[in-house]
Amino acid sequence: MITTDICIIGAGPVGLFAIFEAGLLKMRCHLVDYLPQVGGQLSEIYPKKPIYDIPGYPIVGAQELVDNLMEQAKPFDPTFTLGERVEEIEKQEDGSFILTTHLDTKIHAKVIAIAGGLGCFEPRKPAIENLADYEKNGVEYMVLDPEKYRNKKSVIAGGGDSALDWTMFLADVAAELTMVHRGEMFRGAPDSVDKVKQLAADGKIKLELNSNITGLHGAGKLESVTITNNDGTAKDIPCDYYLALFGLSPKLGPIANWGLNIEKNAINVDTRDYSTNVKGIYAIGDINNYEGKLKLILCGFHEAAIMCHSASELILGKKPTLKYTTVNGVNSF
Amino acid sequence: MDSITVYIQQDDFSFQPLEIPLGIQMSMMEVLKGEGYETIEGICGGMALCGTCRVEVLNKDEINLEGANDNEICMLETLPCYTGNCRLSCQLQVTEKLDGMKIRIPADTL
Repeated sequence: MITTDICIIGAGPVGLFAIFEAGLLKMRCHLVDYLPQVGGQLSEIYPKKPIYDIPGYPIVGAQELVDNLMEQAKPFDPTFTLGERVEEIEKQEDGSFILTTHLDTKIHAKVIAIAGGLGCFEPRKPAIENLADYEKNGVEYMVLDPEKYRNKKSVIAGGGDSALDWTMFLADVAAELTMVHRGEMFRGAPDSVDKVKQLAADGKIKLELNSNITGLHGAGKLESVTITNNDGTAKDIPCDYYLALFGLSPKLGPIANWGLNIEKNAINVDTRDYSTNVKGIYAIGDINNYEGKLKLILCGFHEAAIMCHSASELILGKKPTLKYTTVNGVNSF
Repeated sequence: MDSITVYIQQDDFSFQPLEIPLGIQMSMMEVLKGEGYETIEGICGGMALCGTCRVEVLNKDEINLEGANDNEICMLETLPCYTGNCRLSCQLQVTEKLDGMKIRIPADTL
C-alpha cells in the first residue's frame, strides 16, 4: 500500500501546485490521475495554447506551465499513480483514508485533496442504439494492446489524431482495416493525414469518408458493422473490432458517490479552507463550488495554499507557521 | 443597431429571447455560460479544441450566419453527436449576423 500525507486526486495545474504548498509545510503528496500523463486538460486538450492570466507571466504555453509546475514541485519528491481512477474512499477510525483505484491500487492518506477539474476524462461514445451490448465484445474506445488486433478485421471511426495515429499503426497489424470518418477533412497533423490517404491509395486500408457507423451486429460478440454514407447508402462489412476514437470528455464519475455535497457537478466547500462536508477531504480548483467562484487556474493556486495550511493543522494538531520562501528559500525533503 | 436577439429553444419547444448588446467582444459560448447554461462548458476556453460548447442552429438558412471555417468543421466532425446544424458557440462571435438566430442547447454535456 502507498502511504502519504495528502492524496491529491487530479494532476492538473492546481493539483501540481498543491505539492509545492504542501512541501513547504513538510507534507508529502501522492497524486492520482486517470490520464496517463500529468497536466490535466492543459496537457490533454490544449498543450500548445497560450495562457495570459497567470500572474507574472504575460504569456505562457499550457504545457510549459505544467512543466514549470513539475519543476517547482520536484524538491518535494511527489509520487504518482497515473492512468488510474479513484473508485472508492474508505474513512478509517483514526480519521485517515484508504483510496482504491479501478486497478485496485491502494493509497493510505491522512488527508485527501480533490483537484479533479471537471472530472475524469472518459471516451466520447457515439450514439448507436445497441452500443453497450458490444462493449468488451468488440467495441472499444481506446487501444491498450495493439497486438489484440493482429490478424483481426477492425474498423476505426473518428477524425482526430488518435484515429489517424492508430490507423497508421494498425494498418500493418490488422488483417483488414477500415477507417470511417464523418467528413472529408481530418482534425490531425497534416503529415498523418497524408500518410493515411497514402495507405488507402496503396490499398493497405479502406477509407470511408462522409460516412458513419450506424449499426452493430453479431450474436454475443461483434461480427459486422453498418456503414452509412451521408448520401444515405449503407453497407455492412464484417469486423471483429470497432474502435470508436472520438476523443475524451470530462465526467464527474465516482466522485459523485463519496458522500460529498455536490451541486451542479461541483463540490460545495467552505471558503475558509476549501474543506468539504467530510472532515479531511478538501476540494480545490475547478471541481469546487462556492459563492463567487471563478474557474481560473490562478484561483485554484490560491485555494491550494489555503487548503494546505488547514490540512497541516488537521494532521499535526496545531496551526502551522507561515513560512516565507523569501527568508528560507525552498528546502527539499 | 445596439443589440441583437438570439432565441433559445426551451424544453417545451418554445423560444426564449435573449437580448445581447453589440460590441461586447464576446462569443456566444461566453454569453451562454454567463446566462447559466450548464451544458455549455467551453473547457478549452474558446479555441475550438474540445467541442463542449456545441449548439444546434435551427434556422441557419434563414439568417445571415457565416459558415464554419475548416478548423471548426474538423472539430465538429469528430463529435459522435454531430449533425449538419451543429456549431461551436465559441466560434460564434456576437455580431449583427447572429440576430434572429434560433438555437437548441444540448441537454447533456458531451
